[in-house]
Amino acid sequence: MTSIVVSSQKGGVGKTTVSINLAFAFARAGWNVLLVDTDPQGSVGLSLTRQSRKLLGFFDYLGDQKQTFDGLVVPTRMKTLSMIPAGQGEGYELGGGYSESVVERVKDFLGEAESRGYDICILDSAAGLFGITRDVLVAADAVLVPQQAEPLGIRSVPKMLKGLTELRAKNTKLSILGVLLTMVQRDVQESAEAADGLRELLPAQLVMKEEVPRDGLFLKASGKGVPVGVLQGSAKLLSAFDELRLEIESKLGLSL
Amino acid sequence: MDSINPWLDVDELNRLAKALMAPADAQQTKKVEASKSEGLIRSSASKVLAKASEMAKRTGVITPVVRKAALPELGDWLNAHARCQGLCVVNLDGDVLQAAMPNEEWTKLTVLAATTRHRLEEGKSSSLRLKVASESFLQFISVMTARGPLLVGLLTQNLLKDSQLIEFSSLVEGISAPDQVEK
Repeated sequence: MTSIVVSSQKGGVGKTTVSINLAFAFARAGWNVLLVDTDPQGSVGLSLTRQSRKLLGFFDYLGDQKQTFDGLVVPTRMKTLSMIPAGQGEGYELGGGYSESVVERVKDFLGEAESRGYDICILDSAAGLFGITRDVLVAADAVLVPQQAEPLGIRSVPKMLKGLTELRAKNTKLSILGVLLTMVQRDVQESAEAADGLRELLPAQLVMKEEVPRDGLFLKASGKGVPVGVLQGSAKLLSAFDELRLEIESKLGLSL
Repeated sequence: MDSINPWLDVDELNRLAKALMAPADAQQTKKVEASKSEGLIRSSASKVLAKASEMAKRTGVITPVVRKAALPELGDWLNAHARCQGLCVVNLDGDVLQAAMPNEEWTKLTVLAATTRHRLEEGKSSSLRLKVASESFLQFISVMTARGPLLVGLLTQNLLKDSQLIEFSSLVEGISAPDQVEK
C-alpha cells in the first residue's frame, strides 16, 4: 500500500478538494482506495456526508488502543473507494511536538489499512507541519503539496520546503511528489503569473505538471457531498485529476 | 517573473529546493550538522564552564568555580521562545564576551554594531532588527548590565518581542555576572 499525505503550510489552498478528487481518480482507475481524514476539523467528512460528525474515525483510533480499524471504515457508493472520517476522539493537541508514541500508532493504522487490501491511502491533513500532520508525515510514504496560485500564497513555499526537508530527516522514505498548483485562474494575470513564476523558480521535479483550476463546480460538489467528477460538466476537471493520478503513479513507480 | 520575485528570496528558495531534492541520507548528515548548530549555545556554554572550572582548579582556587549554568539557561530560554540559530554578546568596546554563531561573519557584524555605539535608552533594553534571509533575522538587543551596556546579536527565525526583552535581559545579566565561587 502507498500512503500519500496531502499537506500544506497554509489553510484554504484546496487540500480537502484535492484529497477527495484524487482519491476518486485512483478509485475510478481500479485502485482500492482508502481516504482518511486526519484533520481535526473533519473537512473530508463534512464534504462527503452530513453524518460525519457522529462517526468514529482516525482520532478515535489514535486515542484508544482498543479501537478497531474495521469499526471506522465508511463505505461509499463506489466499491473501490472507502473513507475513514476524522472521528470523535479528544483530538490531537495541535501544536504539540513530535511524539514517538503517536507516530507508532499512525504506523499501526497504516499497517492495518494495508492488511485490509487497500492499495492507496490518501490522507487529508490539517494546515501546517506540526502536531498530528507532522506525525502522519513521519509515518507516510509520500506527500503532495497543494499551493494556491496567488502571490501571497506563494510566500509560504520556502517555509514549506524547509519543513519538508526537516521531516525527511525523520522519515527518509518520504517521497516528495511536489507542489500542486491549485485555484489557478489562467485568465487572471496575477494568478497566471504566480503559477508560472513558481514553475520558473522551482526545479521541474518539485512542481506537478498538472494544475487544478479554480472552478465553481468544486463548491457545488462539496455542497452535494460528492467528488466533482460525478457532476455534469466536470469532464475537464475529471481529466485533470486523472492526469494528476498518472503523474503520481509515474513518480512513485506504481502500476495496477 | 517580477510579480512574485519581491515575495521570495530566490537564493533561499533554490537552496531549500536543492536540500529537499538531495538524497535522504545526505539530508540526514545535514540534519545532524544543523542539530549541532542548534546546540551551539549549549555546547559553547558547557565548554566555557568546563574551561573556567579547569582553570580554577589549576590556579589554586581549588574551590571549584561552580555557578548556576547561566548560559545553558539562556540557551534553553532562547530555544523555547525563538528559533535561535546563534548568539553573540559584545560590550561597547567590541570585546566579545560570548560567541556561538554558525558563521564568524555574524559575530563580526555584531561587533561592528557594538562599536558604532548602538544607542541605549537608560535603564531599558531595545532592539534593532535586520532581515538577513527569507526566514532569518539578525536581532541586535542592547542590554544594560552591572558590567555596563552590552549588545547581544541573535541570529533567529523568531524575533524576540519587546515584551520578552526584560526576561531576556535578566538572563544575559546572568551570563555577564562575575563568576561566583561556591563551596
